[in-house]
Amino acid sequence: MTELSWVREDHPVWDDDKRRVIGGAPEGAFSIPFRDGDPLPGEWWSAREGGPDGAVLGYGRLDIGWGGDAQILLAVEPTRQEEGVGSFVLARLEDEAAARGINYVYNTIREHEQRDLVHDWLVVRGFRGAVDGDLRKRVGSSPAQPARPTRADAAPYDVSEDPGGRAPGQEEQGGYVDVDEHRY
Amino acid sequence: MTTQQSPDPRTGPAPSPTGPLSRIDYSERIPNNVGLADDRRLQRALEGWQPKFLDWWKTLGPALPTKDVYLRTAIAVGRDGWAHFAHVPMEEYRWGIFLAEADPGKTITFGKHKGEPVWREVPGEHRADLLRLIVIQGDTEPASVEQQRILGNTAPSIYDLRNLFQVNVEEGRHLWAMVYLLHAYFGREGREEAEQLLKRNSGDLDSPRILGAFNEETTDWLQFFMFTYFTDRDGKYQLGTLKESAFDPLARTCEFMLKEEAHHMFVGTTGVQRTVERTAAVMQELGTDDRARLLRAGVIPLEIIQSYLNFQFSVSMDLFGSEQSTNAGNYYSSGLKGRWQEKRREDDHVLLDATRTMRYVEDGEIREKEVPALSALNLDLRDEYVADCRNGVRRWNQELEDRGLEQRLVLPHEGFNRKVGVYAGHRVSPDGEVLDDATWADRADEWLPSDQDRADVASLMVPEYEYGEFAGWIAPPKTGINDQPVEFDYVHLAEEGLV
Repeated sequence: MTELSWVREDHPVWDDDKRRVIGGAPEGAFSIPFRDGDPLPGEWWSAREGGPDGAVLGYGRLDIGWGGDAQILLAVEPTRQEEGVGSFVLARLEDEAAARGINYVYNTIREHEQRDLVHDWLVVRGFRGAVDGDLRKRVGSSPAQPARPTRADAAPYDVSEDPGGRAPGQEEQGGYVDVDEHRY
Repeated sequence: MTTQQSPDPRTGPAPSPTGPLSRIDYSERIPNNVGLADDRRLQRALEGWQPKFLDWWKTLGPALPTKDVYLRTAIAVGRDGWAHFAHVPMEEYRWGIFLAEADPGKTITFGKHKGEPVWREVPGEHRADLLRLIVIQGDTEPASVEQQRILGNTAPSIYDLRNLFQVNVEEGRHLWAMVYLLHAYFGREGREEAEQLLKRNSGDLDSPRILGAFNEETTDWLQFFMFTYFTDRDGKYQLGTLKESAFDPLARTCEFMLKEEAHHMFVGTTGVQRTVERTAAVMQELGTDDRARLLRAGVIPLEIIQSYLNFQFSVSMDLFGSEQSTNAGNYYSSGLKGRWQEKRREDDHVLLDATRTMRYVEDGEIREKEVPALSALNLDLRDEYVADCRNGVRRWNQELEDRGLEQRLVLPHEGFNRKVGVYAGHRVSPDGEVLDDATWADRADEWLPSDQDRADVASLMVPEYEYGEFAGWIAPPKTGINDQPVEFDYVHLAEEGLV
């Protein structure tokens, strides 16, 4: 297997390498509404042959939505497939997601001529989904264990000795909550 | 038609309230206002899910045994008189399915379908995306119940215990709301996902809840109050975007959920406020802000409250995702998710040519650049959230000001302690200075809750189950729930609970 480097792109833009790697995928596999130099949303990495300045053989992207609902995109240079580049990119993307505290990544497979192949490739690597083209995989690490409570002596607080408390107790009254103005 | 003046200069006036009261049918096994009795197949499917939900509630719901709790139950979805209060055994709570009133002439208000009638069914091309959005929303609801299940053991008062349980049962009802959508609109796939909502569990190593923040056990009440203030508030904003959805059943479901969510925000806002109030009183009395002396006096020092605030705010900021997201833009253009208060925004509601400013880190500095507005909708929502969060902090600081104290709580910088988005991988102090790793390592314990901080808070968490009495670290509320007195018997504990 080719030795690969994983290189983060600080300012990802649509360029020649991406056109060669991503644009080389079967028609319909990706939605590519970009022109040269367009900045690209999401976090991007390239898989490069040899060191960090080597030729780009693949790309990976994390698009993190609400609460760590993270979609992955991965693409491999069409002439260098079946050399382990895709597995390398997927594994690194899973590591990146886990490092951000994300528990699951998903991939939506668009309609194209190699759709079934991509589906099976992901299923073999642990992706599952109730909807055929929308697959999810557990990637996160174990959650942090916060401190457990222990008992100590603390005197109960007597409400009658502090009548000046300002806190409101009226749900949806007193200016704290206005449901229709979404103020609460 | 009358309008209300918006307090926010970025938005237009509020639309007038509409819709009559829609009573909820409580004669059914599953209370609902969606005509469940007319759809036998759906009714049977949901009645098949109901016992699994109840098993989950008994296993992973509140751990403290109770006889009954003074709970609010929705009885209508209109503007007035929508809730009924009574003592209810929690396992007999009437979890049901309630959608806000339908508007037959409703049209889509944003994106490429703007002006078209809203969708009453799921369009095929958006099926996977809508299913995912609903599953994620649904996954958070039982997750927070699981996270909070042991909190009752250290409740600072019966009043607070009741509020915790009210939050818990309503999170359970919000799960029902999402499960209804899954069953009613997504066929076999929806039923499978509904099953999974009860199989993933908070903190489970093999099958955790989807969102990271919903997998950490809530072990103390300060964390609970911060969670309900900051993290539930993220949920409020997500519901606000789904409330705008072109998929009308989802929009109407979320609209009613927002009404219930108000109580959860209330619990967080006033919980932290009462904590600060008590601390401020003791600081004034003792004339000190010394951590050790305040802890000995039985209150939580402000520096610990600030560190809890820093942590919960920063992890909740991560919940909004990357500042720029292709998916968020696609969801908007497709009509699946709108912006916060979409109808009040004074722009074209399509955003193809709009830009906005986004901050990022480069060469050790925080800089700004212009980006397409459509790519930065996660940031748009997060900005709304941050503005809202500032209100609570201002309210909490009023307690300090009233006591003549100089100390203040502050929201940390948006780049502080971030794992997701443009600040991920950078070290930013609470006041917005970009730091090197060594400086961060030296000071992180000062800004985030240390093990010692958590242990000190935990040591104050003693249960107080006498009616009208409160633990020493928190002030009582001024008034009770639903015009009841503070010392009202909001919760009747089971005998084993009292032991």
